[in-house]
Amino acid sequence: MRTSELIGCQVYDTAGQHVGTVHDLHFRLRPQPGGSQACQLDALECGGIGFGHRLGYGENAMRGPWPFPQLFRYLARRSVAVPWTEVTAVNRPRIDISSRRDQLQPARRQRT
Amino acid sequence: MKAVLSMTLGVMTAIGGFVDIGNLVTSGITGARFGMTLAWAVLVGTAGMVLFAEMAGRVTAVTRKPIFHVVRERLGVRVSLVNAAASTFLNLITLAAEIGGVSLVLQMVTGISYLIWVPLAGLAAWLVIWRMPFQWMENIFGLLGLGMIVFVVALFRLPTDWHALWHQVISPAVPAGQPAPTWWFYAVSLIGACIVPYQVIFFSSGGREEGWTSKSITEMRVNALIGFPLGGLLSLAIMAAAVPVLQPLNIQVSHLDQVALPVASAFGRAGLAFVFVSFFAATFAAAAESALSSGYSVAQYMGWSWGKRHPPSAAARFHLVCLASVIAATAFTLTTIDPVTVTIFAVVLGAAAVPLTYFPILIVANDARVMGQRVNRRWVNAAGTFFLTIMVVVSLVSVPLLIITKAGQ
Amino acid sequence: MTRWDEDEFTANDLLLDRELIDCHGMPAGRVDDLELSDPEPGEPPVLTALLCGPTAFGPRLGGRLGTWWQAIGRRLRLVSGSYPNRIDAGLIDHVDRLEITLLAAREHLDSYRFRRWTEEKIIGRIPGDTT
Repeated sequence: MRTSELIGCQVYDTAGQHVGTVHDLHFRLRPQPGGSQACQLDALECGGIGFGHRLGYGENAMRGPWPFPQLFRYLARRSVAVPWTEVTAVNRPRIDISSRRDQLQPARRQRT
Repeated sequence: MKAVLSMTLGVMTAIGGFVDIGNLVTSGITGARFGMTLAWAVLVGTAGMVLFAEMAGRVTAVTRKPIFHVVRERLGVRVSLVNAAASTFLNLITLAAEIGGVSLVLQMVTGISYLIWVPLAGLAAWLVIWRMPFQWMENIFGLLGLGMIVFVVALFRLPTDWHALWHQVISPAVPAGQPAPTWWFYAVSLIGACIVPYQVIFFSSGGREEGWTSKSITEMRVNALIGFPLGGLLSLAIMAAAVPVLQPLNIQVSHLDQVALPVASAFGRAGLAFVFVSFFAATFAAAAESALSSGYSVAQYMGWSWGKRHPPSAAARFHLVCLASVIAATAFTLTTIDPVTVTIFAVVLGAAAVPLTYFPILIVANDARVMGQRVNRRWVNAAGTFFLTIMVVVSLVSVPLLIITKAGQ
Repeated sequence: MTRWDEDEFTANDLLLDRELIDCHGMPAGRVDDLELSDPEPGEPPVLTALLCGPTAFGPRLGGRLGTWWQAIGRRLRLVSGSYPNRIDAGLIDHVDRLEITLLAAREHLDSYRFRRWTEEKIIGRIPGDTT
């Protein structure tokens, strides 16, 4: 499976509501038996403008320039993270999940 | 002592490097037609270039990566492709203009038609890229370009009306009898002649060729903050010198020899020798630099190895792109399209494309995770956003003005 | 073992479009796409390889331009098959915000073919290429 098959898909929740477009994949490092670490696909980030996240405004590390941080934070407010465990079907360009949109957490934790 | 010498050298090459065929042509044309009423455009362009270059240079020094490296990562696949395509196209037009410029200078000196010189100029430019060590190229041509100081000296020899010129500088207005759209069009062209995308790509990539690190930031700043403004001053001198000599005669500058006329008038042949050498150095260096910038942009975008510091076989595709650019630009110039016209198009389209190149740099310079303590300060951001806004406005009006005024008629 | 500067990140943050540097410090291309293992029930996919080249870049571009880019890439390939050049995840040395360092030399990567072809067929034929 390739990331290009996931990014750009439209996500629909269990009620058939459109959640958003996948614009990024969230990975987490998990130790494996044998001592190595694997990069595990944790969640799909979808929703509003991926561009703001792309530029780096999703986290708190961007200084400016004004008004970009404010602008992108506003545009990204509807971004949500869909845990991989909620995904029931992947049929490009559609991904179905087993929870409802309002049950999803917002994407990106704030980091300094 | 060595550091001071090295810094002085850097400044001097920056001065010579700032001025290229775009500045020569636009300063000559506007001085003859509008006096010094467009001096403000050179000031705006130079200030913008200094801001842009310092930021790009700082990002390069801290990240130890050239700026095109970060364009693709920040803008995402599709937007960065547009950016890369636009940069490549602009580098090519500029290269064609510079090769045309070199040939025009040789035509001025020898009287032989410029078309004969075009393939030779192209070949020579490519040979310099292929074989001449980077520092030599920078230093030799940068220093020779300083000969343009003869225009400053000429101002004191010519019947220059300093009061009138100063008045035009501080209270600019469209001169009587000149169409306003054309005046604005040339304002755009002057700005575009100062903020040329290839120059920033070259400034940054050249910095990496010389191995800039965070410690090089002071040296980089001296080059940008002193060198470029002095280059802008030279452009203003060329503009001012045209006023007492060309404006009274209502000469519409369309040939490079007309730009040199004021110096001939002041100093005769001796002065012209300075003009020929410095014009040749400026345009030839710019040709080599824009060809290198084609290679830099494409190779950095694609992730290939690049640069003159590697033996050619270790950066094969980079050299291939440089070679292909020189061939394409030479072929284009051989179609006999007037090099002066090509130059005007190159600077105007270049001005239009600045926001695209500047935006990712402004973004990265704000990323504390990458820049650490060297992240943009608040006032730099304020200046940067202001400048970006100006360039977006310039971008929006440039093509309509180009069409309305039929490229400056 | 691969060293990661952060333990939680996204594809766009640290992986996609990043420059690859080989074990000698030479550029080895850019990450155009990521290969993940096929999902099993209860097992999230893991990153198995980095993908490079026009056949990986094309699908990310999408649209007609992407399809065209991919088709050209397939034509230019010196081996048949359209699966892009693959760099196994085990070959990754270090990942940080600016680049991804590999454990192998670039001559040993699949993506070397195009470079080698340019070197031999074009640049190698021009006099003065060995500085």
